[in-house]
Amino acid sequence: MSIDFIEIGLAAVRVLGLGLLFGAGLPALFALGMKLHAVGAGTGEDGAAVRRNPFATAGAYALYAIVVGAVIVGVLFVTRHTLQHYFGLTLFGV
Amino acid sequence: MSGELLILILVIVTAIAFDFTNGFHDTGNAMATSIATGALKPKAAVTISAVLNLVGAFLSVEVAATITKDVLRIQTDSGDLVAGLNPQTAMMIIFAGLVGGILWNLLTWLLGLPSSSSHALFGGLIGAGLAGIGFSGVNWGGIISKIIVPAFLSPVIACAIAAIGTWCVYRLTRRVASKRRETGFRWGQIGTASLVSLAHGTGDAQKTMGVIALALIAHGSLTTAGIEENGLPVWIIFVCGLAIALGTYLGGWRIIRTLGKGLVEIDSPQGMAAEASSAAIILTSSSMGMALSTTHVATGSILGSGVGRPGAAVRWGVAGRMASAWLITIPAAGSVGALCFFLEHLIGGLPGALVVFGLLVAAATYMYVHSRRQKVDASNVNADWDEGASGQRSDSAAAAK
Repeated sequence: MSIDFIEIGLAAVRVLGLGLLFGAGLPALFALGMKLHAVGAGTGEDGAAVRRNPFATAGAYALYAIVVGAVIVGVLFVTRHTLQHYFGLTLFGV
Repeated sequence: MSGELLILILVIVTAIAFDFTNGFHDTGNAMATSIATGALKPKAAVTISAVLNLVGAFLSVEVAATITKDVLRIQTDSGDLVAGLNPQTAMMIIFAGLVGGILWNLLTWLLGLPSSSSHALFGGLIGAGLAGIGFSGVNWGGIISKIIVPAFLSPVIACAIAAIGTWCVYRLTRRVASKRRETGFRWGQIGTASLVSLAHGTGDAQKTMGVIALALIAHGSLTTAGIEENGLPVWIIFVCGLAIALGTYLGGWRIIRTLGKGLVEIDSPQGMAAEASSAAIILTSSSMGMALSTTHVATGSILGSGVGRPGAAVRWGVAGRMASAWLITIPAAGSVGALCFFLEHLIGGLPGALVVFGLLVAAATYMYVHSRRQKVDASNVNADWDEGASGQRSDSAAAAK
C-alpha cells in the first residue's frame, strides 16, 4: 500500500486555490457590483436618496457580466468532454 | 429466465433505489440555504434542483466504469473483473454493498443528519468486499488517499473558502441599504444553488451509473471495450438521471431543515457565499485530482458562512453530531454490507439475494412509517430550531405543522 501524501497535499492546495478564486472571488465581485449598483441608483444607506451616478451603474453591470461569464465558461470547461462526445462541440481545444 | 439474470435485475433495481436515496439525501446540499432564507419557496427549490440534477446527469458522462477501483480490487484498470473472480460473487458483493448504502442513507435521513451518500456506498462495498473476498479484496491505499484523507480535508477547505467569501461580501456591502442587499443576494443565492444542483447531478448520478455498468460487466452483457467506444448505454444514463431527479424532487426535508436552520441562522449574503464556495469546490475538485463528497463540502461551506459573518452564532453541537455520523458512515454501512453478503452466501444464489432484498424493503418501509410520526415537509421545514428537544424532532417543528 503506497500513499502519496505529497500528491494529496498538492491536490488540496490546488482545490483551495481554485476554490478561493471562484468560490470567494466571484461572490466578492458580485458584492462589489451590488455596491456600485446602489451608488449608481442613488440609494445611500437606509435607502436615503443621494445623487445618481451612471458610471457606477455601468461598472456594476460590467461586474455582473464578468461573474456570469466566468460561471458559464467554468461550466462549459468542466463539461467539455461530454459536450464534445454528444454534440461534437469542441471547446478549449479538447 | 436464469437465476443469474434475475440477480442482475435485482442489483440494477437496488442501484436505482440507491440513486433515489442519494437524490433526496442531498437536496439540502444545494437548496437548504435558499429555502432557509426564503429566496425560493420550498417546492420551487426542489423542482429547480431536480431538473438541474437531471441535466447534470447527462453532462457527466465521462466513462464511469471504474467506480469501485478506489475501494475494492475487483476491477482491472480497464474496468473488467479481475481474473479468478466468480461473476456471481462480484454481483453479490455489489448488491450487498448497495443495500448497506441505502440503509445507512435512510437511517441518517430519519435522524436528519446530512451524511455523505458516496461514503455510504463505498462503505457498503468495502464491507461486502471484505466479507466476500477477504482482506486482499480491499484497496486500503485507495481508501485512505481517495476517501478518508479528502473527507477530513474537504470540510476544512470549504469552511475556509466560505468564511472568506462571507466576510468579503459583508464587508463590501455594509453600506448598501438592507432591502437592496437582500434582493440582490437572493438572486445570487438562486444562481449559486442552481450550480450546486448541476454539479451534484454530474458527480453523484455517475456513481450509480458506474455501479450498474459494473454489474452488467460482471454478468457479461456489457464489455469495457464497448463502453470505451460508445460510452455507457443511454438507458443507464437516463434511468440514473431520472432516479436522482425524482429523489431530489421528493426533497429530504429532514436534512434540509438541519442544514438550513440547525447549523447557522442563515441570511441571504451568507447563503450565496456558502453555495458559491460549494459549487466552486465540487465543480473543480474532480479535475484537480481529488473527488470530494458533496455533503462534506456543502456542510463545511454552511459552517464557514457562520464563521465568516461577524456576530453570527454557529451551533457547534449540531456540527459535532454530524461529524460523528460522518465518522461512523463507512464502518456502519460496511457492517450492513458484510452482514448482507454473509446472509446471501449462507442461503446461496437467487434465494439469498431475494431474502436480502426482502429485508431491505422491510427495513425501508419501517423507517418510512417511523418518519411519518414526526413529519418534516415543505410546510414546516423552516420552523424555529429548538436545540433543547434534540433539534430535529423538536416540539416546535411538530407544532408548526
